[in-house]
Amino acid sequence: MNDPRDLIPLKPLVFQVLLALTEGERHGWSLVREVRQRTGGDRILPANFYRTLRGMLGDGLIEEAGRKEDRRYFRVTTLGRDAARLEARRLQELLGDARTRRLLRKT
Amino acid sequence: MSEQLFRLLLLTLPADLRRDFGDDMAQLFHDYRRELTGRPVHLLSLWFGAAYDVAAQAVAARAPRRAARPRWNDRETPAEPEFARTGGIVMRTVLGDFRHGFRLLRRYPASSLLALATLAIGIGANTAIFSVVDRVLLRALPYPDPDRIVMVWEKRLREGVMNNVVSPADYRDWRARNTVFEHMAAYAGTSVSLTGDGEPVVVPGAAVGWSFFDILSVRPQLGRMFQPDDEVLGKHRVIVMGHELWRTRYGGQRDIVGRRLWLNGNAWEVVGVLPASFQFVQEIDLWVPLVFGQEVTRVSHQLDVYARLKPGVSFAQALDGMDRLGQQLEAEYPQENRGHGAHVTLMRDVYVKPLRATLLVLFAAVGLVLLIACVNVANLLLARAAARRREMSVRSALGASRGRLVTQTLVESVSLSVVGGVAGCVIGWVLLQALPAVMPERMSVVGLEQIRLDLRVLLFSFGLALLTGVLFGLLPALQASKPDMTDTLKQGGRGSAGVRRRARIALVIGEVTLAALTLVGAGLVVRSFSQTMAQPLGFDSSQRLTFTLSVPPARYKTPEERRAVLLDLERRFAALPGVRSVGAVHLLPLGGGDSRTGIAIENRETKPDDPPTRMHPRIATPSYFSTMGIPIKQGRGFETTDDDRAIAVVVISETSARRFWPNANPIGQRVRFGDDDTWRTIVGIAGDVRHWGLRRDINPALYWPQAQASSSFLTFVLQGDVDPGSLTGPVRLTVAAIDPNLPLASVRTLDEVVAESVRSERAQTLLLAAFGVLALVLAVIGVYGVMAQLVTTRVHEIGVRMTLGARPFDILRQLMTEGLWQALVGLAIGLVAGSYIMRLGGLPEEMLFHIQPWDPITLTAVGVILIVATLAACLIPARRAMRVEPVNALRQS
Repeated sequence: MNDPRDLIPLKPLVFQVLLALTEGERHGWSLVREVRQRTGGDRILPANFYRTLRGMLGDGLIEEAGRKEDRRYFRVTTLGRDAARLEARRLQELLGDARTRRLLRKT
Repeated sequence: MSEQLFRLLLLTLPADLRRDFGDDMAQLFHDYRRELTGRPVHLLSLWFGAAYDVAAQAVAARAPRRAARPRWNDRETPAEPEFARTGGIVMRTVLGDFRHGFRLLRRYPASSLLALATLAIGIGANTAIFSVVDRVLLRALPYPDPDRIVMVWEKRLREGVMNNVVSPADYRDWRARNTVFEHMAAYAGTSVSLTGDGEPVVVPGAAVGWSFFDILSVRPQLGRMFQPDDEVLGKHRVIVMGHELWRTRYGGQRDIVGRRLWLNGNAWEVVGVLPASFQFVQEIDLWVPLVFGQEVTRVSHQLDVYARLKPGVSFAQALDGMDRLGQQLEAEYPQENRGHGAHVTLMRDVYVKPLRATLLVLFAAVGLVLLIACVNVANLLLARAAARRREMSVRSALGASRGRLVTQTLVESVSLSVVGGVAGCVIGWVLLQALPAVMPERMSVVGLEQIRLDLRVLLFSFGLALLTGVLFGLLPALQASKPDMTDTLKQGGRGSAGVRRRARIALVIGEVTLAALTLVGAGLVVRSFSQTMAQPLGFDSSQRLTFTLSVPPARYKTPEERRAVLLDLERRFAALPGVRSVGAVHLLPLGGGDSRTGIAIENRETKPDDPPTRMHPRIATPSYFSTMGIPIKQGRGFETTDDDRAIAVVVISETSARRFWPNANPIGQRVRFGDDDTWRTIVGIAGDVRHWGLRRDINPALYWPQAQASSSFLTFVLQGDVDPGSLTGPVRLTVAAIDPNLPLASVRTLDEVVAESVRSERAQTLLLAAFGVLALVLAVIGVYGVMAQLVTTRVHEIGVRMTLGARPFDILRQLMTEGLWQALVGLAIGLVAGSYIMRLGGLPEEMLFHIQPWDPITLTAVGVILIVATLAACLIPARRAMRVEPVNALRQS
């Protein structure tokens, strides 16, 4: 089993995919829609998306959850959950740092 | 289709990635596409994005990761990847160049998009047209051994006619006595009323010799085809049904074979159904055997004759054999067959040849557009090379080899071509969906409906795109790779780019030339079309409804009965509210039907070698002329009293009068039909009518009254005070009230008939005009690009001149003059070359109508349009030059 600390920092897309998967199993199109909705970002194009997923599978962040209606489903692993938590903490600390330097107003 | 295209893109990915996730990627792409249905702009951007995405990932997935930048998934990569040691270094460099190339595309988005768009449009249009050319010209008819299928015609050397339709007697003798054909079968198209099961309809039918389907090598889907017995009178009431009618009217039921149908009032038995794949020149729903009675005429000519060559017999032998047979028959029937021989042509030539010219012209036009697109891309690459001279010099100074720089530039231009090629395929596919509407009729037999973008066409396009990239990438690559380093570095990249500037001026001139060529062609076709539409029809088409009614002889047995019911109908139509006038004729102008017959003139001696007197007879009712607005120029039209008890009368057309009575008054003269012994008196001369089409010659016509003839079908013309379309309902009710089994056919307004007759000319004109506009737009983009670049590289010079006292207007004038000169030179070459090519037959005669290839109006218009467009393209960069601040310009250097 990998140490999640080796994987930090996560690429933004990897982090978003992990976040989307914490709510349950999803297939590719559903993931893409969720991430786009959450970030309001650009289209996530097929080759880039699945190459990223392959990397995540290889690192053990996610695993396959079988096929339904000819679509492949994915779920997050414990390692993935840990990594996402670490990344969130890292981002929070970064934010805290930015706040102390008064880049952002405290809310 | 787009799914496949996307999968083709995926081929660039490493095999393992594609195997693991290819299907998912295609699925995701499909999801995106579904989401964007009906939003073409977004769809286009998706395609561009996806192409870039796949290309970028293809590179990234292969490229060894840099050890210096650890990533979250990098740890397992060995520090020095194996393939880098084994010559992989070259690969890595090229991949790096690709990445650099794509990055450049993004760095100059405006110019890159322009180049990509021009390339995509050029390749797309080319692919679409090439698909058609490939299908129609390069491949054969949709039958096995198509080069063995021929058509046999009657030839009349003295009249210069090689392909006249055939008389039944000649056909019978040819079939019995020829030694060169395996099968021979005649074809006669007709309309059939189908009644007794559901709404009565008129469907297209054909009577054919029993071996017709053996000639085309078609097997039935159900039942059987015709056999020799079916031609025996009494056993002949059998039908082979077209697939479409079987599917739509009879729901594809298999028990259709053996069922009885009512055709023209008689019971016929269905014996077979054709397969869906079968195609013929016309869409025919019902096929029946062609049967002759005891008396077979040799005077009336009406049949198309098809045949298949015997195995081992060559086309030349067939031609020779039939020629001899024709001479024998001429000797045996010196009266009827005087001057008639037999002639053989390949079926393919009959149907494909007329399309060839149109297709080749379209292909040429689209080729010119592609050339302009290529010139634009070349321009872009040259401009970019110019802008990057300094970069190249620096790299060269730092030790990059010449080969290295050439490779890099080349890779950049190829990546441009690849993206352009992908987009071009998409555009080509879209265009192909729209093309069938544009092509001339009679296309179904050559299979236009079946045209798809196939792999070969796709490869052709990609090849074209790559060639463009390599060809136009190489020139700037070679130039860029031998920069005079010290000079360029010193000058800050401005440089004395004399050679390059001359090359680009040459490109502008070339572009204007190509655009002028395309525009001259398009302009001539547009002018031809407007000339066509300006032709007098000879009748008034507005506010008129037409439809055809046939009364089946099986139920209306005598000519008197048929005449009475048609007369009754005409009276009832005239009484409908909103109807001003009603007339009827058996062959409507521009309706596609015609007949022709030999005429004898009383008291006129004919020498045996005189060309025969032939006229085109039309059966008409008395009010036909006034309803159609055809003027009676002399004498009178028909009266209601001109019936079978009165003396026989005819009205001839002006052309008939001019041709056959050049120095005499035909009124009062008498004529006789070739196969009839009644003398008929000419009582009037009617105005000429274009019967076959606006571009066709006017034939000598002859009208005879319905009350003295016995046509079992008539096309009615209703002139309305109201919208003619609104009369359809009342007309149907009127017909149903008299006989619910009388089907109404070809219900159209007369305006629609006229429009339909020029449909393919209109479509070709539109298409060529579109290509002309496209060429113009691309050329303007090109000129703009060059001028803009010119201004950028000359900011320093302009600054100096302004400092020395030049006014902004002087700068503007100088730049505009320069642009104008280039345009004028290109225009002059284009116009001269254009009119020369047209004179040599660059446009086929059938596309030019009443217009000279050097038509001054067209040439002037093209000149004015191009000059104005070029000046407009120069104006924007020139205005920018006017606003140059001398201080800034000087400081820049």
